[in-house]
This record gives sequence, C-alpha cells and structure tokens, in this order.
Amino acid sequence: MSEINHSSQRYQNKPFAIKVRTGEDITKATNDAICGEVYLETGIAPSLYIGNKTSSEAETSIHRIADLTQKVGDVNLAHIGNVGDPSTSTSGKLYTETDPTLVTDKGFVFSFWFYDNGEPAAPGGQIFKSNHQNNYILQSTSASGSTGSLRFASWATLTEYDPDKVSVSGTSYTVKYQTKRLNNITHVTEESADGRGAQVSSYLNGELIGHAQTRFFIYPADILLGVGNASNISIGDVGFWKDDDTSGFIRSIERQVPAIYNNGQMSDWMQLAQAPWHYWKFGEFVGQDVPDEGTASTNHMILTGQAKQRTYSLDGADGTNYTFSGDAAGTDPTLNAVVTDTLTFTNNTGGHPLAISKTVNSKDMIFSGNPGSGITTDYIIKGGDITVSAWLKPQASTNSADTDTFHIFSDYTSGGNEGRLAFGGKLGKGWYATVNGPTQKQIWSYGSESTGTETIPIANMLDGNWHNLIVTVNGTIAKFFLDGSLAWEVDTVHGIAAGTLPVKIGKSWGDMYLFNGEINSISIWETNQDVGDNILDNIYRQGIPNDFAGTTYPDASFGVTKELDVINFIDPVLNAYDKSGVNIKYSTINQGDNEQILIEESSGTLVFNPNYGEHNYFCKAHPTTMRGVINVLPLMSSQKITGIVRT
Amino acid sequence: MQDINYSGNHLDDKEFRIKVSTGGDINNATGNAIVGEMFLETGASPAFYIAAGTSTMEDSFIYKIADITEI
Repeated sequence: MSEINHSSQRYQNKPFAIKVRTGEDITKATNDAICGEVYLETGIAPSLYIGNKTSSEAETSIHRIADLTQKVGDVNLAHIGNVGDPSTSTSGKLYTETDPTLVTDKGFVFSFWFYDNGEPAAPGGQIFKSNHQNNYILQSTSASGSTGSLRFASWATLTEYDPDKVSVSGTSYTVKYQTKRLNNITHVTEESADGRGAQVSSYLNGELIGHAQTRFFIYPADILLGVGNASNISIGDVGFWKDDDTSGFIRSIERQVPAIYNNGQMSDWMQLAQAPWHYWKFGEFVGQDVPDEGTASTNHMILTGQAKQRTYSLDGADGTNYTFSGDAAGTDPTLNAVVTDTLTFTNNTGGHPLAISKTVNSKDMIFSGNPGSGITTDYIIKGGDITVSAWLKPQASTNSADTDTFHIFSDYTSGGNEGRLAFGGKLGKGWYATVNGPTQKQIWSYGSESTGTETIPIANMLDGNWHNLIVTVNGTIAKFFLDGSLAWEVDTVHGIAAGTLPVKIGKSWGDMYLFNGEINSISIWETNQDVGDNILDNIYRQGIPNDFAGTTYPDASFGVTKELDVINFIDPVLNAYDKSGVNIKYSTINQGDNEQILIEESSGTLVFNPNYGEHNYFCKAHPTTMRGVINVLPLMSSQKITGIVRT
Repeated sequence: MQDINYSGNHLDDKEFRIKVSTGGDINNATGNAIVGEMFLETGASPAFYIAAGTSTMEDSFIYKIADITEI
C-alpha cells in the first residue's frame, strides 16, 4: 500500500503514527504496520482498517473498522418475484415488515425506487399495503402483464390530476411510468385542512402528479411490504417518515420531495428536516441482502436479457419446406434459398424477437399488389407492449387498387374488432396505423386523423430506397417511427389487447389492402423497445440484412457510436453492426478511467475480462449473419460503464 | 461542505488528501472528492464518510463509514 500522509513520534522508544495508506490489498500492509496507522483499501470492495499494534516478525494486528459498502448515490434493488399463483401463493413475497406505529393519524411520507423490466406481472401484487381495512397503497394492476403502472388504491377521488400521467377509476388512481428505468415514487399524506379526512400528494420522479382527498381519516396502521401476491418488480431504498408532531414536518418534507429524486440520483435522506422513521435499503450485492423467498442464492439485479429466437419455416405451395432458426444466444435466423412460389410463414417455438428474413429469387419479398399476394403468418399478437420493425420499399403503380390503403403488418379484418395492430399507408396520402381495432381506437389515419399531426406523404417513400418503419406500444402509448425518427405519438387509451387472428404481411384479412412493393426484415418484440436513447435508433441503423441484393445500409459516417449509462440500466446492451458485412473491425469500450479494451477481428464467441476489478464483459460476433453484438452488463448498480463502439 | 482540515501530497503524480469536510448534505461533496478524504455530515442524522476513489465527471466513490450516534 502507498503512504499518502504521515505524522509520527516515538514514545518509550516505540513508534506511533497517524498515517493513511491506500491500496487494493490490505495484506501488503501487515509487515510494517504501525500502531495508530489507518488503511484505506480501495478497489471493488473498499474497507477501512486501523493498526492497533506495531508489526513484529511474529505478529501483526490490523483490524477492520468498517466495510465501505454503502455508497452515496446508490440505489440498491431487490426483486419481488413473479412466481406462483398470486391468489394462493406467497412465493413472490420479498419481505414483510410491520410497525404498529408507522402510520399515524397525522400522516406520513414514504418514498421508494423501483424498476419494472416490462415482463408480465401477476395481477394484484400488493407492494405496499396498510393493514387497516386492507387499503392497498400500491399494487400491480394488470391481469395480462405489466403495463407500466402502479395503482394507488383506496385514497378516494382525486381533486386534480395530470391526465397525461394519471387515470382515475373509482376510489383509486393509476400512475403510468416508464419501464426499464429507475423511477421514484414519493407519497405524502397529511391531515386535511378541514380536519375531516386526509389528503395525499404523489410525486413521480420528483414531479407532482396528483392530489387525492380522502373521505376517511388516516388510521394508525402497519405498512406491509411485498405481502402475499407476487408483483414482479424490483424496489429499493424505501423510506418512511411519520408525522409525530405538528411542527410543520410534513409540509417541510413536501417542499423537499422533488430534491429526493435529484435528477435520477437518490439524494441523501438527511437533507430532509428529519431522518426517516423507517428505512429499508435493499442490496443485492452490497449491504443487506434480501433475496426472493425460496431462492436465497438468487440475485435479481435487473439486466436487459438477450431475447430468444423463434424457429420458422416457410411452406411453399409447391410442397417445398424451408426452415430457418435462430438460437438462444440471439443469432438472427436466416434463410438463403431461391423459392418461386407462394409461401406460408409459420413459427415453431416460443420466444422473441420474431424475425422474418426471406428471399425470393435472391431478393426480398415482392408483392404485386394484386389479389393473392401477401403472406399469412401464424403469429398472433400477444397483447400488451409490442414493437414491430419493418423495412420496405413501396412502389407506385398504375393499378387502381394501389390508390386504396395497403397494410404492411396487419391482423385487421373487416366488420369486427379482430384487428389489434395494423399499419401501412396510402399512396398520395400518408402512413396509416390502427391499434386495438378500428371500433375501439383508430389512432392514425394517414398521419392526420385523431392526432392532428402533420401528414407525411407516402410519396416521400417512393424514392427507390429502403425505408424503416417501427411501431411501439408501451402501455397505452403508441409511437410510429420513420427511418429512426419519431413521427407520431398518441395515447391509445385502451392499449393493445390479445389478438385472435394471425398476422398478415403485405395485406389484411379478406385479401384486402394489398401492398405493392418490397418488404424485408419484419421483427417483432413482445416488449416495448422504446426504452433508451438509441434502442430504436440502433434497430434502424442495423439496416436490413445484407443477404439479399440491393441492400442500402445507413451512411457509415455515423456508424454506431454510443455512450452507455448502465448505472441506470437504460442501455446495458449495445448492438454494433458492420457496414461492410464482415465482422466487427474495431471496437473500443472505455470503462471510466480504466484502460481501454480493444476487440479486433472478433469472430465466434469471445469472453474477456478487463484488468480491473471483476467486471464481466461479454462480446460476441456472428460472422455467419455478418453481425456483431456487444453486451456490456454491470454486475452491480454501483458500476458505471461508458462505452464507445465503432464499426 | 466546508473544509476544516487539510493535508495532502502527491504520489505517482496523483493527488491524495487527508481532509475533513463538514456539512449538512453529503451530496454536495460528490463532485470533487479526493481519495482518502473524509466527510463528517452534520445535522439531524450525522454520519461519517470516506472517499475510496477520486471523483470523476461520471461518478464519485464516497462511502459511509458509520452513522454517528450520541454517547
């Protein structure tokens, strides 16, 4: 270890020192320790030590003062699982805590952080609950999966609210939030001004989102955490403050609530007027470890996983069957075959994303716009969040049918509610999409109806180049991206329900809305992919697979350059694609002030560890698909990684 | 936070400090902490911290040693 300061004297011919040393290995200080010396062990598991005896050849006495594990700014998450039947099982329970004096009749404040990975959640998971009359303060709400919302129940009717973030139903309201990021909820209750009830103010990420006025008093009660039902969400840093006097404490806290969020980093509780009465700080890797019940060894730090791939087959009407499949590691399925007949698309195994890559006469899918063209898949929309990406090259035609609306991706059928998601366009007009069927909510029509936004004429897409369309549905929010840029965004109100009919490509059911042009690489994620700064942008910049003629890649001048901010789990996965279609030529990951890591001519699977700490980087390249993927995954929330990748 | 003591030197061209800062909000110290620096947070819930690394633009490395309780 290195000495960084020193002050010593001798007493009765023995040395004493006030000295601080730093280094990553405390054992290197054992041979020459001086009584009174302080040692700061740095590195991935920092600790503070002191020597209470001067070393001799026979003996050393260095004692640990404290493990330095509670880092300022950390938000440590623990996971409430999503296992078992929530009506009968408690296997998703994280932790139960009661304190009979936690909630007082004067009110209280609680604040917590949570991370929803967007995966399906069991309905009715009770994250926080008062044991007085079973008032559910927070619970998961969706019967079909996580919808990015938390319900604040039994708080009576809102007197005012932000319609963009809060929906009201009876005596509860639901707050919408963004999945796959850390969010903070702070809830402030206080006795109402007239003394006849209670009122609550709720903040999402530091922003006031609603007031509720109750008809009943706040009764002294326990607060139960993660009780009974599963909820499939990660929570952390739960702090409670109670108003045990009337000295203006609550109002003082309320004024400071936005500071708790502090632009995405947790401020320290002590900046408030009073320390929390109750505080649960969950740590999966540091501090108190609170594992899921029954899975004590499992850490549930949320990382964005690699989606599994489906296996597909193309059944030609001439009897020829073509199969193509990906693998669990994320390799895209590919098919290189010359087929000349009408094809039916089927998938064999579950998982996502669904990727269709199909060649016809060594080219992409060509649709004539005439009756009979188009493809029938067996993919049925699952319901809930979804992302669909498609590359297409529309063509103008003298065929009178082309003046009608055409569908690129559609489970629409006429005369009913069967259609859940359909998008396409209309020549001379613009782009078109519906979510959840025309009778429930037609969110766009040629880019103008309902939304009032500008029309983007489809003629702009008739320039002979390939163009990318991405539709995302996140809860009730649907977005439409053209060539990587957001074109429209609208609240569908209903979200997207499970479909009943398979999706058609290049037309709708009933052989209607026929598309004239070329389509390639339709990808479906059964999750919302609009979760980071550049996720969708990356999808666009991946370009269409280069296994067919006429590929037009994005300009290489921007390549794939990205800075990761994985401390907030926004972009733990980075995809880099090579313009030349060979391999990743040069990639650099700059991990803070650590040394750079170079990857050159990657091929196959490459696992490497940097020479710093125990960070685990995973890099792999897929030369067969001419695509490279780099995943940079943090092991701990305290790790911060910045990365630059160029292809 | 306010500096109340300071002693520092350079080793291998890097700055090290023994310094104690005090203040009511530890977050005010995250931007410019130096390895070895100690922080005494005053106020209603005092605590003692130390920086196990020098702050960068992206991160700080301040860890809590202990909450301080009255004897």
